[in-house]
Amino acid sequence: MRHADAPSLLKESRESAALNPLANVARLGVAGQADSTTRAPVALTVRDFSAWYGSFQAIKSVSFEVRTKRVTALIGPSGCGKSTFLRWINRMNDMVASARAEGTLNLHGIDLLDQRMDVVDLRRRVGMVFQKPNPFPKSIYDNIAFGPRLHRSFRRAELDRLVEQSLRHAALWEEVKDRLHDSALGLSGGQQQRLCIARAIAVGPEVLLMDEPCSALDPQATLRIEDLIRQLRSEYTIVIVTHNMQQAARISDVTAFFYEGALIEAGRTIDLFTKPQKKQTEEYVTGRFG
Amino acid sequence: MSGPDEPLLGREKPAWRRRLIDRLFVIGCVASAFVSVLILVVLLGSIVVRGWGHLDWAFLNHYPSRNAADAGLKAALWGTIWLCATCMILALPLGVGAAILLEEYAPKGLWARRAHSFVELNIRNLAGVPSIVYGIIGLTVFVRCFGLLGNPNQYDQMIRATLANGVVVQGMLVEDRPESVVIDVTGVDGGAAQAEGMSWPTGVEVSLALVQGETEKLLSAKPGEAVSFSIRRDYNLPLDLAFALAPAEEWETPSVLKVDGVFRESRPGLLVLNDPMEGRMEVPTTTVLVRESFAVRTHEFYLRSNEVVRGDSLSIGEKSATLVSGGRARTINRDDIQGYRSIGSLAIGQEESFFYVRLPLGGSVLAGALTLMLVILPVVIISSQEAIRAVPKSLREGAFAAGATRWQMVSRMVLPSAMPGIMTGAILAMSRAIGEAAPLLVVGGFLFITFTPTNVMSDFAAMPLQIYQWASRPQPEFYGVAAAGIIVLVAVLLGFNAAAILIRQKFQKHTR
Amino acid sequence: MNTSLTGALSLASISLLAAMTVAQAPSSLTGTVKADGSSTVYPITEAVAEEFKKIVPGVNVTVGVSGTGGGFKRFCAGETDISNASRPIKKEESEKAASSNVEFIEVPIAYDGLSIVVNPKNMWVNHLTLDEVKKIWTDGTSVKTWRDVRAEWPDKPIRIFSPGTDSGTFDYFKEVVVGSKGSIRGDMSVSEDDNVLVKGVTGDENAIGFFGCAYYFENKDALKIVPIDAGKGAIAPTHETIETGTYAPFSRPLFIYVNRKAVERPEVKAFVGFYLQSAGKLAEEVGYVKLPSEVYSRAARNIAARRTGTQFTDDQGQPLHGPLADLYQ
Repeated sequence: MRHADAPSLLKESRESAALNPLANVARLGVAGQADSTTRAPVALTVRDFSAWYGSFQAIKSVSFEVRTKRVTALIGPSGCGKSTFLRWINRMNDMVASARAEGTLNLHGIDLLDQRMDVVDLRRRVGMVFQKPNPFPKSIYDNIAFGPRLHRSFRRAELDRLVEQSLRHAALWEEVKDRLHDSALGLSGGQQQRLCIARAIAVGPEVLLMDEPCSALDPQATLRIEDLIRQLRSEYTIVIVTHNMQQAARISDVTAFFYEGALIEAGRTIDLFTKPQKKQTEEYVTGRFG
Repeated sequence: MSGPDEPLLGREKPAWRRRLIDRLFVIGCVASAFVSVLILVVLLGSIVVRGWGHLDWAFLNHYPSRNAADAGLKAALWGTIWLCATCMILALPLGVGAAILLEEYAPKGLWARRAHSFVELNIRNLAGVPSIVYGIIGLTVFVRCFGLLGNPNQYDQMIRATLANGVVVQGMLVEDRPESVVIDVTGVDGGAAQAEGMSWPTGVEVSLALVQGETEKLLSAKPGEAVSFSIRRDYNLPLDLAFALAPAEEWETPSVLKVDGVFRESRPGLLVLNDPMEGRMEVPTTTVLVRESFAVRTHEFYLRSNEVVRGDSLSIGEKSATLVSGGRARTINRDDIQGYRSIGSLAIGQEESFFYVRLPLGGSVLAGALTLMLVILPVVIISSQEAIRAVPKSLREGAFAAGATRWQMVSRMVLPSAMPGIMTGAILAMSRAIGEAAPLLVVGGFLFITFTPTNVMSDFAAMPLQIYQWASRPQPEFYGVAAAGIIVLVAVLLGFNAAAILIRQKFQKHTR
Repeated sequence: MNTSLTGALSLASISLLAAMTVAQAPSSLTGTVKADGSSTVYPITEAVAEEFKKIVPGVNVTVGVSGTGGGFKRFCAGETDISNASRPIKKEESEKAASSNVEFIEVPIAYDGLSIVVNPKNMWVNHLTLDEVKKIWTDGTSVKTWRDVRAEWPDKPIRIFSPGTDSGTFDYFKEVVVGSKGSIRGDMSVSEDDNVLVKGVTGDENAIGFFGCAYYFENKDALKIVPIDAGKGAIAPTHETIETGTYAPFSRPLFIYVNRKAVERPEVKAFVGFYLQSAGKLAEEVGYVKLPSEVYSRAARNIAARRTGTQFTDDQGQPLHGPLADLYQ
């Protein structure tokens, strides 16, 4: 409890009532790790963080923590600032001329808002998966090899191995191993998104950011991605933005609820869904608005 | 929300009418496509009908002629190929580079943003500037280099004279006087260095005539050395008049005689040589045409036995001459010799690599290509910008998210994805460049030319100029020749476009 | 000097040397000769260069078509060795040349007649007087119909075809009709391509146009020539009337201007010499009219003597008019 003031550390959880529809899911995903959820080392410290697009304030003085090798879900209605927040973590907002931010955003001791910070190195440590699958118009192999090739030079065999590992990690290897040199655009939507995840992990990041990775996929593909995320949580710190509350409940350890740019509540997923502290949170998770 | 009972607002559009309009639209599209194809077919058809008869290998392999039957496109064809290839090599990197700057490196500051949009607006405006304006710019900037670097023709006006003793004098021929040659070596590289043993200050006008007494020194050689140079047959009759007034059949009679021999000594006003057959020969230095003298490479003796003996070096004795060839010496009795000549080479010009450049550019391929580059650059930039803009933002984000620097993102993601579009723009630009006549006329494209370019400094002819000239001749036979020229022009254009399409396809491999 | 040369040569085996060098002497020349200028003169220079190349393959002759004015711009800057011109050099141009240290030798090479033509269906015109020509073309003229030219002609609109104002042809016509100070009417159909003018006149019954005689000679059936009466009766352009100078004032000399320094270069000297020798024959071949032979001799003499400057302006730079054989000495 180093940061007792952080909203994520509100209360120790109690077992939820059997009435709660999310209880089973919560048990599946999080049970057994309840204690360690809040004890893992802090990966990302957010303190009084505000962000603007021009004069519009998209994020209003947010403070919380993301812990290492946990899945943190950011939920909230459209336009609540959750995607903006995600895109500050790997400084993707640098592409937007009018974007600026204040406060503290610190990843493993690196000040992410420092203008002199090496963005390229940051992005190597923080991979990102986007809402819409964005495979490059290249072969499957070249998609995976794209990131590693940016940073290092490889012998052919090394690169082959790295591509295979990454695809295996993303549970795509078996499906594509015979057509590595075909266009990635020929894959299905779900496969494309897993390819993007494989591409992101191929550079060996510590953190994976996922911006609504399943919103463009059918339910079956969504489930496969969710399985994959569950597998990956043992190796990566994952921050996922999602519209889908069930999804947040199914896969995340910690959930943060954003509303109109402010962080309303953050805490263990099971707590947030079963015993929300704020009225807005309760209304949102029970589907009364959003 | 209106319930099922309430009447719908608005008036129903009759379905037949909507269908009819839809049909008419299709018919309209087909008709306009048909008309444009028809016009093209009629145009090309009439050209092919007219020009086909002239189209043969000789047409492609002949230089221009006043006779329609002999007229060929060789110089113009190769000129255009050189021109367009050079132009593309220059324009593509520059245009794509500018497009990348404008699209990918959009500035953030207010004034920088204004400058950025000002530049963008102007590039669009430049696309509409008449090409002759670019021709005038090209003439001033490329051909003449603002006149700061001398006369573009200076290199052709320069002569390089190899004197009998091997001294090379290079400079501008100022005057060809009966008694001497005046060569201005001002500013000529190596002019002083090559004038062996003489210190000529560069940067001042030096005339051989002014260096009295030195003339003989220049024309002298080491005793025993073989020399060869031309002398005037009759220096009282000016050479040009002899050419001009002689009847045609006598025209080839030389006014210039070649003197070959072995240097013996030089006296004031006189060179004394050992003649291969007669022994001593005196040549007044005043008759020497320095320009045509050259270093002897090979000696040839024609013997009475009809044998020809060649050798690299020669020594002449009282009764015989000794010829050395490849280490073997052969002595020839003077009585056996029927004739002698020496073969050498004029050291004028030198082999130049294809990218050899000198300033000012003059009316060279490079000057023409740079001018055409100005004409097509706006087209290349705008089409490249469109192509780059069409690359989805998600791909840029993906590349950045993988940790790409901006350059890596551009070179590995944006350019390959935009390449098909860029190549389409290049095809359009090439189509414009290949047909341009006006700017080339201004920068000095030639029509009659009897050689093809060998490097980017060569003079050139271009197909549009040639075709226009043929089409505007009084003799109707030339219309067919012009039509044949158009067919070749279109074929070359298709060739360039095919190359661009191949490149495009290479990059399109994975996009679908 | 002469004796010492003869002496030298008598020692050498002169006949043998000559025999050895006969085939070689002209062809051993190398170098480049650059010509540019009038598109009217181009066919002649092209023909000369074509023939020259056969004899002296080592010399590259290049010929451009920047137009008379454009050619002079380059020539007066010293960028070309020879300038093709369909009119004498102008005062401003020779001043420009002087300022860049370019001296030139003026060489007339052929005649070009200006032919004034109408449509063959035009039954009323059988000749025009010089005054009528002036009446038709002077700027600000009231001539709108054929009747305005001559009262007995029909009241049909007159349609005029003219070469481009940049061409030497237009300059020459203008000089004759309105003088150097005047200006030609602007409401004409103008084309740089004389074949377009031929087609224009062929296709319009009420048309009148002018262009080089070569275009009339090639299209005799499609055009009707208008003989011109300049006070000595109506005369139509033919090779004879042009060469003898009776088709005045609409026959003009064509020139090449040679850079005096360039003449010192053997390849230029040889080319110009060959040009003079063959210009008459080749000019006729490409549709122009040869000059009297004494003019070619004078030109050769002027080249040999390096006589620079133009003979077609007076001391004040005003153009001189008259038969070529009188003006050019």
